[in-house]
Amino acid sequence: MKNNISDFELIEAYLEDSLSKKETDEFRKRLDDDPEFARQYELRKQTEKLWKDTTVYSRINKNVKQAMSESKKSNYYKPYYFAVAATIILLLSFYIVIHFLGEDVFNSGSSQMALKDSTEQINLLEPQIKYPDRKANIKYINEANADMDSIILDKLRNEKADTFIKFKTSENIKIEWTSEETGIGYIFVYDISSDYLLIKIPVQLSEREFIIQKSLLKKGKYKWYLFNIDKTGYFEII
Amino acid sequence: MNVKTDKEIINGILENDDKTLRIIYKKYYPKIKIMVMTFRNVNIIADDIFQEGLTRAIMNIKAGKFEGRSSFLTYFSGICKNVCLKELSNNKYASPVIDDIAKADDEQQNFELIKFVIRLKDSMDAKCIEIINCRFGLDENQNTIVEHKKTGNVRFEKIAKKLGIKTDNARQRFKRCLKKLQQNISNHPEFSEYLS
Repeated sequence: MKNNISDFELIEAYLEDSLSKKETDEFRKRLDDDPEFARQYELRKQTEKLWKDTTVYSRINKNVKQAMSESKKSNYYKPYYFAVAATIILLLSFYIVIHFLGEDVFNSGSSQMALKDSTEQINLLEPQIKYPDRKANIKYINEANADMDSIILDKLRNEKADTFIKFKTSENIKIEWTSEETGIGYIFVYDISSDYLLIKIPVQLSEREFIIQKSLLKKGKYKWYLFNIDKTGYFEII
Repeated sequence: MNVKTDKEIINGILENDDKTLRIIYKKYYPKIKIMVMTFRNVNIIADDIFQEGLTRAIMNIKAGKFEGRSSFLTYFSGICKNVCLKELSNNKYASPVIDDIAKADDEQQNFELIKFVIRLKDSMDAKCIEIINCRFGLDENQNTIVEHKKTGNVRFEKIAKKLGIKTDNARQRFKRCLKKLQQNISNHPEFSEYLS
């Protein structure tokens, strides 16, 4: 064993594989016999592992960020969006032309309905999701949808609840529905005890279920409502 | 490769396939965003949670910690949820109840320590970072890890040649920088856990 060198140099020599076979055997024996030396060696190895983990983490994080950025960029330039934009422009032009010609075709019932539906469709494509301020029951809704949310709050507040499905705090809460509908719906969750509309989340109706992760809601009784297919349910967290 | 199944996603991650990352983003980002939005009263940005969560998931998968007992989505959203809970517990307005949950559900082994070392690196001398990377066989500029047989450490003679300095200077510089690094990370509460 190289007696005249420090433990640091000895460990480094071992790690770069420059010790002779005899020195390597002595090194390993000392690791077994000398706890302080073994601790220094372990510290050195773990520092290296941590440093390498940090490098790997930074590289992966950078790649993920780049992939996210590229995906967003490709979304922005999808031909679909140009098609939607072109359709909207065409519809607007059509409306303006008819308006200036004095032919108020939108007075007919079916045309009014068509315009209303297309407007709602555009709103649903960009769902407004915010959450209530603790100081007020509803203080979070964009102007366009304020009435709808108030109606749903009143509906849930006044609706008689019958059977509450029980969940433990350690369980995910599964909200299920049956419907042939597709597209976007909204799930509202109402906390009976605090009288708050707690959650308003857009969901894909075709998925037929929505999971609220465990531990997010306190113990208590809740009502839920799935907007635009008119489904209601009740659950209790015990 | 059109990645669809969990198995293909895992394989894509293991093969460092960038396309897989983009597919994961397109397939799962909306779900993660909805999950993030269920956290009330705290301003958490879904993009940050997704980026951090996916980085951790990939690290775990590469380290063989994903056993495939649940779907990739369940696993990934669980990690993202833990990142959210950690954010909440770091938030001074978070309730004590949320803090308890964050501690109980914390499965993010050593990631806080890794992030601590990243911050530490930012404040370190560039020459120290260079010599440590050289010794550990890392080429940070190219973001690749140079594989070395047996121990993975590069000899000081080679490092000295690369950096144009004397071998003994390379050894002394590494010793000084390593000691400083060890002193700093030893103070982190998670490092003793990491050592064990």
